[in-house]
Amino acid sequence: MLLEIKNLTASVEGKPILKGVDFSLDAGQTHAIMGPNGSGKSTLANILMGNPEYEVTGGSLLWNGTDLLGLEPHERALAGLFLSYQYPVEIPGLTVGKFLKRAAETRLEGEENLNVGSYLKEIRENMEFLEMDRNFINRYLNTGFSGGEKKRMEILQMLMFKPRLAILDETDSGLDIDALRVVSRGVNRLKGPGFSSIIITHYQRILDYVKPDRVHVLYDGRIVESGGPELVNELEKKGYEWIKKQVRGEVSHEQSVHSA
Amino acid sequence: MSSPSTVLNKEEYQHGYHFPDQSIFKTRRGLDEEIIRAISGQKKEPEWMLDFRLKAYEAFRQKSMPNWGADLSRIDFDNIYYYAKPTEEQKRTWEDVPEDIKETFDRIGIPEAEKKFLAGVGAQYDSEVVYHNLKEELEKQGVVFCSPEEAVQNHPDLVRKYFGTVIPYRDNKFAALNSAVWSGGSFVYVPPGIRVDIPLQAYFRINSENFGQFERTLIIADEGSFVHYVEGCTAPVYTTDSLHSAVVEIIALEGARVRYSTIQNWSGDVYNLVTKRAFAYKNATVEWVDGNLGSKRTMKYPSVFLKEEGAHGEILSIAFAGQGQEQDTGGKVFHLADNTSSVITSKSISKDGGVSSYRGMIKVHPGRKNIRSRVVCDALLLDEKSVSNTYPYMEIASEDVTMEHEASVSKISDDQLFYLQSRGFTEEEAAAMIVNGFLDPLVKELPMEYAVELNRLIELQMEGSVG
Amino acid sequence: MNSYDGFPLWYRELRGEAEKRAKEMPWPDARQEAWRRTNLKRLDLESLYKTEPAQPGFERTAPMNPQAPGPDNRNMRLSFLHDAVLGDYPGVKELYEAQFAAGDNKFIYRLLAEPPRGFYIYLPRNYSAENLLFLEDRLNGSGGETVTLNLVVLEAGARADLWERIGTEDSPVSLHNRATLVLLKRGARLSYYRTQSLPGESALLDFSRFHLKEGAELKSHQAESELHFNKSHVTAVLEERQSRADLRGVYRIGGSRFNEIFTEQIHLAPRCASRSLYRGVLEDEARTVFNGMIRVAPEAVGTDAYLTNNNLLMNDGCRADSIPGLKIATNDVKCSHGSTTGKVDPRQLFYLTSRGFSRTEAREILTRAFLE
Repeated sequence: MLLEIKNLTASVEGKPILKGVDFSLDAGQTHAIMGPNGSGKSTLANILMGNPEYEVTGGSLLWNGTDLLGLEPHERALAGLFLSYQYPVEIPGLTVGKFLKRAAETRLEGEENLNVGSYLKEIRENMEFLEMDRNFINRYLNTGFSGGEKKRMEILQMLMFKPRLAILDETDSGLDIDALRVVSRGVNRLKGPGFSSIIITHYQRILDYVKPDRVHVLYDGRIVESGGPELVNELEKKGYEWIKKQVRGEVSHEQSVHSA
Repeated sequence: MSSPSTVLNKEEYQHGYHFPDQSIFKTRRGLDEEIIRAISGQKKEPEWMLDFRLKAYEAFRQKSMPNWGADLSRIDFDNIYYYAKPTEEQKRTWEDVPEDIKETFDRIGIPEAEKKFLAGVGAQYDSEVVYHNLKEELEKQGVVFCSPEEAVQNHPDLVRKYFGTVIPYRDNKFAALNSAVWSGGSFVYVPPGIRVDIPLQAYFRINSENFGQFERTLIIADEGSFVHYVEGCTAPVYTTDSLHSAVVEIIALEGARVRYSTIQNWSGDVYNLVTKRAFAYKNATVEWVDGNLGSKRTMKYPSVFLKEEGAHGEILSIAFAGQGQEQDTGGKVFHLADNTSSVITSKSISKDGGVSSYRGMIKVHPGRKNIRSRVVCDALLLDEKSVSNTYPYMEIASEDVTMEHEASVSKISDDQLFYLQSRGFTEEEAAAMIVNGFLDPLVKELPMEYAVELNRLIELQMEGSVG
Repeated sequence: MNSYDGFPLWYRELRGEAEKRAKEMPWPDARQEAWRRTNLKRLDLESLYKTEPAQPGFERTAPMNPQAPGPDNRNMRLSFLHDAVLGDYPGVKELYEAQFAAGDNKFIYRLLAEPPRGFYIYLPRNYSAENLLFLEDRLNGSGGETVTLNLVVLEAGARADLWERIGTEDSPVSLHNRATLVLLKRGARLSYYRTQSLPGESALLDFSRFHLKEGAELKSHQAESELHFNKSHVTAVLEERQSRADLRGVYRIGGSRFNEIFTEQIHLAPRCASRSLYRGVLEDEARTVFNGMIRVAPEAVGTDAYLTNNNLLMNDGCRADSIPGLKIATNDVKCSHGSTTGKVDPRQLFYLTSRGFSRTEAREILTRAFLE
């Protein structure tokens, strides 16, 4: 098991958000986590990355059998986790080129030296693949970028760092259809036995382009439904109200399926 | 040369080297007329320069200490050596330079730098220029780049015409002191229409305990010429207080452009009190790029007097105040003529209780037309015990003015830190990257190797600063 | 003349010390930063102080309210300051002591040393004044100095809008040395408007202070008309957390008048906010100094402070000095300031003249728009 989450509870500024999440993912798999706003999706993503603003109050997070909670954010990144943020932060003064180069250097082993020429070539190739202007390399990281440009910059980093697990936190939100297509292409490019992903989303749109192996519904801090790709369509048809009612026990699962 | 992005390890970059003092002529501690005559005599100066020194000494005695800015009460003028001459003669080639001096230069990368960009190197070891190398084509163009001592001997007309005209010896106590005991520095003259395409560099270094360094730089850019002068300072670690009090005068004649870049990284016990001023004549441009790290107290406000129509002044100021340090820096622009413009940009960083103060002045004289000025000050505070002060003075006595000023104080945001950490950087690296990013718009204006050095210095300063 | 018998001990001590300092201290001069740009020669202090002290327009006759305000109070009350000090009414000691502690010049000590003349306004807990309160200070000088203090105390949760007008009846040109001291207790809210209609040849020195406790809110508006000499020092002290102070002012100065405004936003507690916005128009040979300062103490985390000054210069010959400063001693802050100085935008001027306004009318319209 690549990632195993057991009975995870977490809070933000003292307010409980996650109320016992169980979740596991094998290497090479793509999982989707869906759910209405405020259900705890972004909290889960930030907890996985170790954001200090989110407090883990119970449960465990295992990464390849080792405890993830003991690792600093940068150690998690170097261990192969990657989070594509819903709202990437602007860092004025730090150019994209310098940032990517230094990030590559921190990932070198021992005495290894970065081959700057070939690394630059790889950046350019990936930028072309994501239909990004070459000039981005000289711009300050995310500074003054449009929403779509920021998302592409996140995917560019993912392509460059080649993580073992990428968590895409609402990467599709606010994207037009062309941008969504490009971003999805980036995720699909890495797909393979050594790459897993968790796609966190509100809508099914992105899942038309990136096919998930498993789909989970997060509601009120718990995973309340899990299933195959067909669950996406069911949610699409019935909306989240169905889930809400179901959790409140107003309708049984069977009933809701029949009444649809 | 290592790339700008390498995180430096401490062994590689210790500026604490201190070699046995080999000065062969050194005045006793303290200052009186006799010592000034001895300095002048050592330099075989003509009578007029000795007169200038003596008048300046009188002004120094009469002037009171500034009653504002950094605390200077610990300076003991009687406990300072005012002059030391390290080697007997001016050395023209690298081979002639004494071994331990060479070693010092090696460690700060002088010959290395020379191979790359340098037009000429006037590197200062204690008071005298011991190593001087000027590329032949510059000499052919008539460009003069030498020590002010040589200039007094070889170009007395230029020196007498301009020396002490921008900063009179009675300007302030420290300018008076420098005028009395100055030694070393640079003299630059660029003839009309000549563009010096590669920066002229001088690397200064104090290396005598309790030894005040009083270098004197005079740059004259004749009509339509261009020159970029670069000066950097690193001082070894001392246990007692040292005084650095330089004077820099720039004259940019009609249509000339002069850029003067400094990165100073004095050790933590140096008082760095420098007077820098430029006169910009018709359509001339003067730019000061001034980076201050280290030192115990720095007081430095590069100034531009826009004396004739169309002149432009620009000041970029960078300050980094660490533990026990006070950087009181900024800039001044005096709009004395119509159609003149100026920009002051200041970025300061305070850490470990350090105090950074921006102090600036924009003055528009009565009735001047079409004046534009913009002042932007940004301060970054790295922890809750550090201090940032901003004192911008604006005196506007003309209606045809567009004057804008903005200042802000901020800290490193947690969001930025976490973003970079989640990309694989340690908290310390992430903080250093954000600080370098904060300075980047100014650092870009520096020549490449200085930008690299500044980034390294910031990273060094940032070590152990978070977490 | 006044033995101060019956006054509280703290007052007698404070007053005595203030009197001593007022006597010993020299007049402020250019060596003090706050007076560096002030041309005190305009005041002719020697002859001002040869004149007998003025009889203020509101010299105490009989107590307005014989009972001292206290916790049982249900209503707002207005008293003579003399009675308020004598009866040690709520807030009096605190405000006097704060003013004493801030004292750094002879004028402030004179304010505290002179017999208490002025008003005391008290709003009890949760009292909400429905109508605008109007306070008129008639500073009738005799050619010398008038010294007046007004104290305003709002208990927790009280609310009021207060308009204070400083004026005079016909009287010889005088120097008016005054302050309004305001104490806003927890959650109190005050909108304060200060206008001034003194004869143009008068001189005015004002050292007003506002002290804000937890969650208190202040909106201060200050309109300056032109005086021969006008120096106003407005200080807001955010003493307890989550208080907010909003200081605004406009000035329009012509002739060869002098106007100087000092503002201080002093943040001593966490998560307070303050704004200072001052705008001025200068004409003829007028001279103004705006000197603003945001001070943030190490404890004042989460401070949000802003300071701005805009000057419009109508012609050559006038002069505007603008010195917005920051002194920040902790990093968890959002502090900034801005300053602009310029002339009437020729494009706007042209636009209005092309719509039929004369140049003079157009300039007047734009000036008013700027001060709006």
